[in-house]
Amino acid sequence: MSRLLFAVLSIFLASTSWAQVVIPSLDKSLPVEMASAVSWRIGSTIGIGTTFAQDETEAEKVDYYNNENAVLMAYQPGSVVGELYYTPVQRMNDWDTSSDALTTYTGLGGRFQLAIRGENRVSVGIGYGLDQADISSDTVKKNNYYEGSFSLRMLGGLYVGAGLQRTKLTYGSIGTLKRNRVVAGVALLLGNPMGNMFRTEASYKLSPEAQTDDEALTLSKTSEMQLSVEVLFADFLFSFLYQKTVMSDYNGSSNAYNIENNRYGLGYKLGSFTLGLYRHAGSEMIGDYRLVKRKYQCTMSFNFI
Amino acid sequence: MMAFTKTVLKVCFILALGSGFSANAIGQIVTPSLDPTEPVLMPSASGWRESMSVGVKYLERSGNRKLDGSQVYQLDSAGYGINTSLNFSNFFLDAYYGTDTTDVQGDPTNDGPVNLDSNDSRLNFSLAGDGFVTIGLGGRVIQSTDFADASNDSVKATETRTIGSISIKTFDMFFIGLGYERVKESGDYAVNLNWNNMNGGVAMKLGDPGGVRLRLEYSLAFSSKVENDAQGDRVGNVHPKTSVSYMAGELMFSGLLFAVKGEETKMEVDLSDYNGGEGIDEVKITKSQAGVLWIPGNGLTLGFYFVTDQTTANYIDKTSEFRIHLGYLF
Repeated sequence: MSRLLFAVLSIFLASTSWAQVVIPSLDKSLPVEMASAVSWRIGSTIGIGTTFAQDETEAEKVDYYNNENAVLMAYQPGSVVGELYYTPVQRMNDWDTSSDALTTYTGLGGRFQLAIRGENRVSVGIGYGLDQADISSDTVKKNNYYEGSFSLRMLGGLYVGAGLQRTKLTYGSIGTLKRNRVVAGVALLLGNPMGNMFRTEASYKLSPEAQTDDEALTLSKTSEMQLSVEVLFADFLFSFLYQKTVMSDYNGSSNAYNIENNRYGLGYKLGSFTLGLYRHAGSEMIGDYRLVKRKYQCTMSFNFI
Repeated sequence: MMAFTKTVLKVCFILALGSGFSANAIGQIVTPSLDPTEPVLMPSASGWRESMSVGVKYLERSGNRKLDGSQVYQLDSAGYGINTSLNFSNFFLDAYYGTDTTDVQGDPTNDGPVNLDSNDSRLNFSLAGDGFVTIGLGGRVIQSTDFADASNDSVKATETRTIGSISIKTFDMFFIGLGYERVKESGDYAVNLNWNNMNGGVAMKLGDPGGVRLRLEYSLAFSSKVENDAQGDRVGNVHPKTSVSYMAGELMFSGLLFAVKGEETKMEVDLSDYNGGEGIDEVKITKSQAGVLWIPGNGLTLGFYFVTDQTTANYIDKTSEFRIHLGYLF
């Protein structure tokens, strides 16, 4: 059962785990999580990214592998903005906490978001996303969601936003789970898009427990907290992101499933191009068991008005 | 058995009315929503519209039915709606079409009504006079296919409503409305039935277009019990005494509309031997919805609603729904 639950968790956190909630990152190749945030993009963007990861438990180590390749297209002809994010290659490891073993599986993901910005003060957005993983030759799990969100801009650079995602998880023939995920955040953006900028954002996401009627599939109550800081100075981009996820009463026990991630980034802006390099360091813990994850990510984007 | 069948059929039909598309029009008996792409329930309400519009919506809904605490059905629905409102001088025209289909998974021997498919068509005309009164005429046709029990798993029925209504504005911000509906129900399984549905409500609207706006409405609908006996090979039919209360609250600023709406339907029924379980004398349906929309003076409009429904009979249906709205205001 623990294996099943982790597999479920990992797909819920797959391609959206680093996305920003209220306003987009200063690295324009990175996606947003709430559709309304798309409205606050400056211009249109084409971006690509690739991630290499290493996973290690006490029993097993999977050395650096191509974890994810991604492409992003955001088009902003006016007050209507659309963003498409697609990850055609995803490779992840399923952690079986009963044996500490890691099992590799592949998948793909993507989402489309549409938002309208009004009076340069408000934004309303809707979105649809899909993540799919091939757990085994006869088991495919799909997680899709519809999303609605809004955000407000106040006092020049202060943004608040909230939204709700209605997620549906289908795990092979075992069952289907549905639940609502509440997302909210606040962000501050200062500076000149053509010069130096400062951006910080804090967000919180909460999902209630969900269980199929026959209890074959369970998702514990999950809370996710994220804090990010970015500085664009003299065309150099410095960024830091911290993320903590807690699944309470994991697997029906008193143990919580804790995930902590730190991401450090350095980028360079050359005209309309931005290049980003990131290092991720994180761990996942259940009781005495621990999975250490390390990642390196490279992004490149072209921005145009 | 006859009373059982009649009541089950009626519960089927009320469920048909209670499915996704009806949630679109909560609290629009006296005044229209501040979202111009929402259809109205009473035609005179459309006479207070401030812009012409065309809108589409798509919904996805899921939930389950529990009987004695255990899930017997999983319910998954999808649907869409199209609405347009036009006005020429003081003449207003509203047209709406919505459809909603439900996929039911579970053991079909669990007797109990489930709406499988619904189509809702509305056409409303209204005339506005001196900014003081609106008078409207309308027609509405609802076609539904329902699962009644294992041996009647696809019962078709059509409900045709002829509507007349009036809405009066007073003290610049208050509105009072009354409406009358003559309802005719026909189908291939039960005998035809006719009844009257009375509607009434009050509303308050503050603010002007472009500024901060507030709209509140509370309204009621009521119909008495009507019953027809079996004829030929068609079984008898009954419309239970039914009351519906609607509540709507909308706040708009900077073009951003926050809407909260609720609807509660109560039907007096006699399901003494229903499913062989404990009898009930009331079926209650509650709907709650909250949404956020961008509503400009003109141009593209976009928004979403989250809706929760609960039907309490001797079983409990709980569903939650996500609906997106996309439209254009002229």
